Amino acid sequence: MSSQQQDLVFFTDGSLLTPKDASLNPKLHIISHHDGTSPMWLTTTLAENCLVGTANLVNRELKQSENDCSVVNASFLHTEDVFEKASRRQAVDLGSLSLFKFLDYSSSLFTSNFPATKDPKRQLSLLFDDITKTIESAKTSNKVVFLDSPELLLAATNLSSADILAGVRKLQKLATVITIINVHTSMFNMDIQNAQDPAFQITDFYVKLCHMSSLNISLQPLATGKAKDITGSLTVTRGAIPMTSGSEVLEREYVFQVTKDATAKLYFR
Amino acid sequence: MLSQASLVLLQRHLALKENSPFSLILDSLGQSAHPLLAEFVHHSSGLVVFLSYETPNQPAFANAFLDCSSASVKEIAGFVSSNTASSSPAKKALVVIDSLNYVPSTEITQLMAAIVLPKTSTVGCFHTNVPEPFSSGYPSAAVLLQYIAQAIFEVSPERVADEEEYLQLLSQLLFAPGQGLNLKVFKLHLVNRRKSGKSLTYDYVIDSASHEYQPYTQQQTDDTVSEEDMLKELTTFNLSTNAKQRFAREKVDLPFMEAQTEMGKMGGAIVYEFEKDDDYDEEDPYEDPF
Repeated sequence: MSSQQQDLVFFTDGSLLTPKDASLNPKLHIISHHDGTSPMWLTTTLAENCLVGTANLVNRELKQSENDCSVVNASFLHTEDVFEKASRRQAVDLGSLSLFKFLDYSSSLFTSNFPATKDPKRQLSLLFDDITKTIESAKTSNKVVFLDSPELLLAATNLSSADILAGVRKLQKLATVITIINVHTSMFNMDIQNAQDPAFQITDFYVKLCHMSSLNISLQPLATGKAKDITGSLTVTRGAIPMTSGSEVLEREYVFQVTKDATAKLYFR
Repeated sequence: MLSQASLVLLQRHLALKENSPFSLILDSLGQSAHPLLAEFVHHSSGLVVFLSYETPNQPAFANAFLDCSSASVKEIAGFVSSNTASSSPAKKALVVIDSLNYVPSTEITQLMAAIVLPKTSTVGCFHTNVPEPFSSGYPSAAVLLQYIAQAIFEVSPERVADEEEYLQLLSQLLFAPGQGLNLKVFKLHLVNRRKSGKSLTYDYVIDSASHEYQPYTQQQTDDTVSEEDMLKELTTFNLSTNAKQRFAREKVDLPFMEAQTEMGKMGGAIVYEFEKDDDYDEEDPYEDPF
């Protein structure tokens, strides 16, 4: 393990999430994590990178620039307060930027989005229409959508993975989609054959999502156990869909440490 | 000679000159079918019709694009026939289906029968890692597709350092860097079915960046180093042997060789040879039974 702190880079051109032709051919990226390795610090950093060009927490080389990019964060897990609090720790107040929109589906999921009396398929369609309208209202050339924990919809409703993937494709027509999924779940089993089992739908969703992605970022705890100075490892790997912008995914493995004040340090592994 | 013929066969398949109305591509989380699809498109001279179940936007190479996620079989068949009307059996249109995993197994044969036409060549992808529902009494989609396909292209990473670790990581949805996943250079296993029913299999290494194809050769897994290399520069003494010394050493019969000539004829039995000073007692209860 290298002891020198490293800059986080996803593409061969040294960028994080600003490939040149993102607006022409939007891609889908995946951030997968475990229970102990929450990607909140990474999500706020990537949102910062899209909006202002910098990534103060993980890459000092990236300078402030006019990306002409808007960001929508649709979360089924966190409220706006949690996200803004995390972003303020890295000296960027995302909530104050007009090009940033937070859609909170966590606190209203069962009260207004999916009430028991209404058809879940129709409600899902309305939900994705809501996100689509928010994306379309931005007048920037580059658009990025974070979809935080969409698998919760599968666990909470009787929707199928195909229904949610159809919604994801709808978003990808307009913007680069970054889906954040928790793969540390007993509901994930690649050998499952019983279609009635909820784990079947979740596994089906994850695997099909991986076949749609161009970039896979995985945050996982150390396989060797706990360490005081290391939170986990972060791997950057190519997805199934090749990049078309000319820049390729730079496959790397880092170990990272998230400190109490939510700053992150990365080292090569 | 055989490898040259297999390369010609592959190029005929990619250029849609081989008689294969439906070709199936099997891919996995480790290696995507997209680089191979790009090869089909590269060699295709006719129209390209893209039937999408998981691709949201029309690819640059596609002449016609249909989002099939909510379309019926009839609508898909109508779209294919109307967009391939100008094609001919000599200049076939390429119909690409990006993922057949979204079609229920009960509808898959109906779909294939509707879109496979004489003047088209259909290439469909199937992701082998996607879970398939078990249904008693009816075959799975993967089995059906492999049964009806005239050619099956199975793609996988070219070199995997540790197969067991690779499969274990994939089963946990973990992708390790440096394992050669989703590269433009990959391994292709082709099953070609002749009209006679005979199936022939070939393995290739495909470089989709340079469009170069090579027959796949099994990597030398035997990692034993020759004695000569092992002793090289180890000490200042000369520990190696020259050719003459090696020849002489090989000529020396080792003890176990002798056992196979005279005494070895007795099989695995213990043979006692009586010597002149031995005292032979007929009453000896411990005497050699042989």
